[in-house]
Amino acid sequence: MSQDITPRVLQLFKIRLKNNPNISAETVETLLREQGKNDFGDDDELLDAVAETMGDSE
Amino acid sequence: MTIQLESLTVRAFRGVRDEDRFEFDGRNAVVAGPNGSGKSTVLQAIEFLLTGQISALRGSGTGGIKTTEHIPNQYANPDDTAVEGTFAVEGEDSFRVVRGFTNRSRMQAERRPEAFIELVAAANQGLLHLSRDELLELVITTPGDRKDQIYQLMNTEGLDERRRQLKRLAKKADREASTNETRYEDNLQQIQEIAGDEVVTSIVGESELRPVALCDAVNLRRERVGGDPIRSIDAVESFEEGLTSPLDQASNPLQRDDVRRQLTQLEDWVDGERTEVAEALDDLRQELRALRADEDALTALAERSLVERGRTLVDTTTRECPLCEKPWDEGELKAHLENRADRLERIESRVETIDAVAGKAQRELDSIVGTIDRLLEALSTDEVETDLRPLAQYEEKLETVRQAVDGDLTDDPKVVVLENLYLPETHQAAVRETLTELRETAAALPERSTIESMWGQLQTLDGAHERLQTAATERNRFARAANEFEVAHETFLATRDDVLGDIFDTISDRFASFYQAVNPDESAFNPTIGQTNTGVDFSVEFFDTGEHPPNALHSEGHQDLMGVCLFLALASELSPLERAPVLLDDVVMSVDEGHREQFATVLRDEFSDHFQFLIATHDETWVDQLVETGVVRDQDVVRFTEWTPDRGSVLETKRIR
Repeated sequence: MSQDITPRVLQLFKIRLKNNPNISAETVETLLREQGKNDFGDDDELLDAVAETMGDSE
Repeated sequence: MTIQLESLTVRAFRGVRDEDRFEFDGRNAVVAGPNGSGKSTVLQAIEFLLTGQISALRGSGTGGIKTTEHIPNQYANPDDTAVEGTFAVEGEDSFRVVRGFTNRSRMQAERRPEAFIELVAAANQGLLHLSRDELLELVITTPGDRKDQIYQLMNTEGLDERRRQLKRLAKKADREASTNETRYEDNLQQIQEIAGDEVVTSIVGESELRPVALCDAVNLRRERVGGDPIRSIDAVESFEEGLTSPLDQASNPLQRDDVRRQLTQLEDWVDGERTEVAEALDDLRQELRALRADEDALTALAERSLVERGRTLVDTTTRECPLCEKPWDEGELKAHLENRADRLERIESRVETIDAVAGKAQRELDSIVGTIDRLLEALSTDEVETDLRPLAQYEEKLETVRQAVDGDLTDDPKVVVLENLYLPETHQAAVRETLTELRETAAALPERSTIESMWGQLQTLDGAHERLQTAATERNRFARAANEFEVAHETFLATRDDVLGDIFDTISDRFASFYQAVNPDESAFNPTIGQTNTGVDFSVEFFDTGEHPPNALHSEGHQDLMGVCLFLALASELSPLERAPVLLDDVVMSVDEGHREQFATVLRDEFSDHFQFLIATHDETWVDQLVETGVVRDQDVVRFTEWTPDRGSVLETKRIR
């Protein structure tokens, strides 16, 4: 018998994101934190929070 | 973790009019009976108990069915409708669960062990109950719909919502980046319109600002305003930094547009416009001289006010002069005054002419005196070195003339000083010289309008550049955010598909294993099931002709077996419970006897340890096969004989009250 699929996917997703060089650690941290909230967090707040971590450089 | 159904009590529910009670004791059972005898009601009652719903009453083809009307028994009070079950969890005491119809969204349970919670979750996912309709939805459908169906069984809703959110975020970030790109372009265009094409460069079709060129354009304008150049546009907080606003600068009043307009007005006056006033004054003097020479007119003028006054004081009944008290016959004094008034009309037209000419001259003189007055006030500063006294003297003379024409010239023409009704010709030469000097001084000064224009451009450039920088920053931020959200989305998709792919491989293997066990001699019907980009493909070999959709060449019986094997493969893989009830409602009715017997063997050998089967069927042969293969004990066959409106379902065996 199998266990619930969702935790398996999320656990693997977290590991893969952290090892992905094309996404910043700040974005991963913000994304996982906000998606951990009820209803996965507010879209606009999440977007602003991630955009804020992007800095001003080109 | 196991859970099993021990007993079930059904009251006023569907076909059950009063109450039926069934003892399963955690074992497999068959509910048998002819069509319409109420056997499906037993399975529906279990589904209702765990979910509050009946899947057969929902979805396509159920239009017109109302839960409020069709779940309670038609002849019973809905308040009495309820289903009660007793469940047993391994190593624990059994517990009772009740769900009434009236408050059907709430289940009452003595306890809620983890296994029971998992059972309810599985029931809500669709892993509890399989009917033939549901079976066919797994087999005969499009890959996309099959995927949706299987994903629902897998309970991937939370995953789908997370995936959709990542996609939404990528789109939102991309839109924000696009909006800021438009803002960047708008402000770049504004800068270009002011500073010229050289401040913009195109790289791969995209316009970008050339900071050095913009700095040159800013410095050009700063120089025109009288300021020092800046090293770079990033070295200052604003392009006007270190400059004084033209509005605050102590500049020469001869640079002001209003002062220059007043100079022009005075020049026009001196050069010609005064001629009209001079001619008006000539006319005035001539009229006044004529009046002075006309004694009758002078008398009339002297009496004019007296006569007018008398006409207001007397009427046709007056019999005495109000001035000298001389007696008059009634009406005669009034007539006398009217005669005098008629004689005065002759002089009135001459008076009106004089008043009109004087009025016109007065307005012109008012205007030019006002102009000179404002000019003197504006120019009386240290920045103006020109001697302004000729202007002041000229103004004084003009003011004398203005006052002369402002008086009542016709009241007593003899007292009017005619010498005051001449323009000051002797001062005009000096005035002209002064105006020439002022004009030459003004011409040598920078145009104030140019300074103000340069200042305004610097302010506009500064504002547009600030907005452009903000837009560029936001554009880059959101573009990077969009890219990272897209990376996250793709990573999530790949992760989900990998995990589901692993599960799918297991399910596919199990399905193939079960199906082969049911059809041991039909290797030519080897089925495969697999996930693709568009959905879940399901195909079956047909002898040596390759793979085909399950409903293309295979019989209904084969399709039924494929569906039930797939369901059992999914249920056994996806449920965390090691043993739990599963309801099969008439699922192999198109399957022939031989294959059904084989299927019964598979149920016994492969699944009886994992599932408590509760099977509904109208087929007595299938009942016998289930009993003979040992899937169900003979005493665990619940048999309905008929259903009548007044009695409801009629049970032949295994009914326990």
